[in-house]
Amino acid sequence: MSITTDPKIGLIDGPFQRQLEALSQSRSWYNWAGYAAPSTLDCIEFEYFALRNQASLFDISPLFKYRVKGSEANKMLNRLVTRDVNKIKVGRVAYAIWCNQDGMLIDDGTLFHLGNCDWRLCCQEPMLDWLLEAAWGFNIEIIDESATVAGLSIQGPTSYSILSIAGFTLDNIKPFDFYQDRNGVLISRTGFTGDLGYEIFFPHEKASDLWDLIWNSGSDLGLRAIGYDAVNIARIEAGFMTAGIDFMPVQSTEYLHRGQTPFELNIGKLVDFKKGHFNGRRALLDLKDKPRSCLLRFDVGGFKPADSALIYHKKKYEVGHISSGIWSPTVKKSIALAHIKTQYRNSPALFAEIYTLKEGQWIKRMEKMVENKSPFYAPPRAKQTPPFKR
Amino acid sequence: MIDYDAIVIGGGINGIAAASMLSSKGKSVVIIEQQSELGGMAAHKREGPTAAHLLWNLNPKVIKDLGLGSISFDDLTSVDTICVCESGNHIRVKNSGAFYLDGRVVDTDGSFRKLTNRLSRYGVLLKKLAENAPFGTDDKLNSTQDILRLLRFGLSLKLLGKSQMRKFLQDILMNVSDFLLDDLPDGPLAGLLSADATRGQFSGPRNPGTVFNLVYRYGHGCELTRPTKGMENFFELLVNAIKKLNVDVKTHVRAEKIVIEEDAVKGVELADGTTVFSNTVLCSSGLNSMKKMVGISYLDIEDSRSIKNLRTMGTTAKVNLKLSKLPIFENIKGPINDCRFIVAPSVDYVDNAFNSCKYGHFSQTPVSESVFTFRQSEFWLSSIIQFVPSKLEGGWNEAAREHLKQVLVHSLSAFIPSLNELIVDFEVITPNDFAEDLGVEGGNWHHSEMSLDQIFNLRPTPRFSAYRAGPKGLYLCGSSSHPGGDIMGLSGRNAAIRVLRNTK
Repeated sequence: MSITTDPKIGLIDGPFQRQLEALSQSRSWYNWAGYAAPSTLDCIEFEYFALRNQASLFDISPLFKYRVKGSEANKMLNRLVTRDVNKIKVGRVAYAIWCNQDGMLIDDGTLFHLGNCDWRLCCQEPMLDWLLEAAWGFNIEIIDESATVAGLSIQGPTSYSILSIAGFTLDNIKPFDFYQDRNGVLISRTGFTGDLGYEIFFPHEKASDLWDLIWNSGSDLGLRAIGYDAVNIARIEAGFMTAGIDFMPVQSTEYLHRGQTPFELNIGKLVDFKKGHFNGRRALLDLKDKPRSCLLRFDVGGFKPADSALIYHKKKYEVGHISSGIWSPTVKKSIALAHIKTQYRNSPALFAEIYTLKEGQWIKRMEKMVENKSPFYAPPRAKQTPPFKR
Repeated sequence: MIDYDAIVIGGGINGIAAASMLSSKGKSVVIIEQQSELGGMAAHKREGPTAAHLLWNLNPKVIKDLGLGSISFDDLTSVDTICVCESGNHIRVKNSGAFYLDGRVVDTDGSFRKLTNRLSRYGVLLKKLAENAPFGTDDKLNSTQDILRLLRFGLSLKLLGKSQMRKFLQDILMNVSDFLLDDLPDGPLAGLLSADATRGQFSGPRNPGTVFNLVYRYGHGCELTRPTKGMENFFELLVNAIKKLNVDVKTHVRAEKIVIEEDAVKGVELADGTTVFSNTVLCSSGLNSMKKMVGISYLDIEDSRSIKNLRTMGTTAKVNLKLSKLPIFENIKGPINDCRFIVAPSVDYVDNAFNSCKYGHFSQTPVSESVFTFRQSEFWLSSIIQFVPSKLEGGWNEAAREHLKQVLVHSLSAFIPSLNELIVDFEVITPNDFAEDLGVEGGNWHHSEMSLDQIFNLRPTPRFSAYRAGPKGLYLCGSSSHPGGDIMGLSGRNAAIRVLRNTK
């Protein structure tokens, strides 16, 4: 007889499984860090437009969450991430990236400065092993909160009003600020959509109560529970990159040289060479001026989503590929995030080779690409404080 | 502001070798040593004789750098090995021939001689690798010199001939037990070689890679020597040579911190509060001490992980017995201090002794190497005991030390029945004592285990194998770097060559 319990096979339930399952019309689940997460609950159009025009509720509990606590937490984090954490005040959230010794990106995530020498790191990839290695030799403690802290992302123009009805005072909460109440609920003005929105973190056991509170507060303001497909459209419109899609987390690559530096991913401004040593600094100093390729935003001609298309210079030489491409319902354009070989990044003659299959017929289009330096969609409400009450 | 072209932290044999190399090329160098005398681990002593009681493999190139080219056979006395057997049929090994004490040949079919010849042949090959930095480190094999060196090594392999080359490639990764017992019966001669292969290691004769260590140790044609005027005199010679080369020496002061500005080394802060400035620092300590001096924030996470995972368990203790007079051996011809006495009657015996060590004990039947020394009209029996764990169950208290001494005396009494009555005083130096006195992790003689995953390009860690670590100007020159342990001085010399190349 085995003394160990067999691991559960298949996807496991998250803290909101009961609520999501009741709402799921499409029964479309995907694997997010082992949890059954909805791709859609109803249909993508309803969900996307709720996100942009009303409010959307999305379960982000499967995110990996790590607590970093102790007298040397700042010192340890400053060696880990490329930006200077000493510049992040208590009560603020910061987007951060971290690299391996060769300067290749391991992952990106958000750092919450919860209190003096007390931080939480949220990220897409499992990071406990790496954090424990990074913590060796420092007087700190790493706590894996992934399975104990649940999260909800409420995004969209009415999100502020809904949370106000729910009883949270968020008037002075600017983007990347957060608010903590006495019951262990943390609300940060962050999100993965480029819109007005908040992310709420709380202990698992409060999951049902919080869902009900927010759900009931949103009934008159168009709140809709959504799946990842709608979020994906919104994040491409905002110009955000995703691990495993737009960049390869170097620790999960198997071939040599498949990692990418922050400079190749257009996030070089997050690398602070002046703050002192951090992991990968010596390599990055060398690689700073020699990116092999560059991740850029493009407007693509035509109306067909250009996902995974190869890119040609003068319709002749292959110079890159599109890692995320969609038809944007809000900007009414085909848009894309694409990797272009460095010497062609300013080429005026870039074309995406888009194949479509319809009723047994393949059609090939070569669509002109034009670089877009700003996010495709950035509504002013995302930055307005206090946000407009609906 | 610069006080010296280079600072060498640690005045062990590797520190001395590095300093002399740099100095002979016109660099101004200072050695910082926390003990009162240079010599490091080899010269370490309390009341009794020094830790190293014999000379193995001191590299002639190092001697030449030191300007000690005059060291000749008069200064070094060759040492025979006596394998102690319980049966009383002790064996003398001399110039790789084995004889019973009455003069009969042990090795009637010549298999022992053939085996030791093979080891020396391999030794010549490995020596070529040891005398240079490992291949393809930070130069990525792009220098013509490196490629030529690789070709020359390949050629010397080829020149062994097909069957010999095949044999070499097969042997070099093997465990010493299989290697020996293929050709020899299990007995004192096989025991001797397996003890030599595992001394200083946390591995028994059945661990893979132990043949490699044996080849390293026999790199000089299986001959071992002692300085005719004693080990202490030898270290004095080294110190004088160093001083003649205009190397400054600061003893009795510990290097506290390596000063770093803008990711480049600026100097070394000493325990007395002063700072010595230089843009180049060579650190001959183990990696953990280096980490402490540099500060972990200056090391990449991959590197600190490698340091954390480095295997540095110390397994070697020293027991020095002070004797009222020398025991008399009727059947040993020649001076008694020209012999070393090995208690390792068989491969199985050595393996059993290692077993206890794995579980935090020392064996009741220990493997030991003992040498008689005379100093200042005192008689000492200096013994190195293998497989004595630094992490002893119950800790290293007085009772444990006394017990270790008794175990040794008991195992030697087959050879010296009167030993117990002759002892007037003794000292036990545990691996932990070495660690405390010298700052060597775990008291390991080679700073880190010489095993297949920690040699060549992997020594001390894959990233540090080019003698470089962390911030600009910081070099590793201790025996945790390639080629590693035993008193060879080559790690220090190779590191110094790297410094010279980088500062050209």
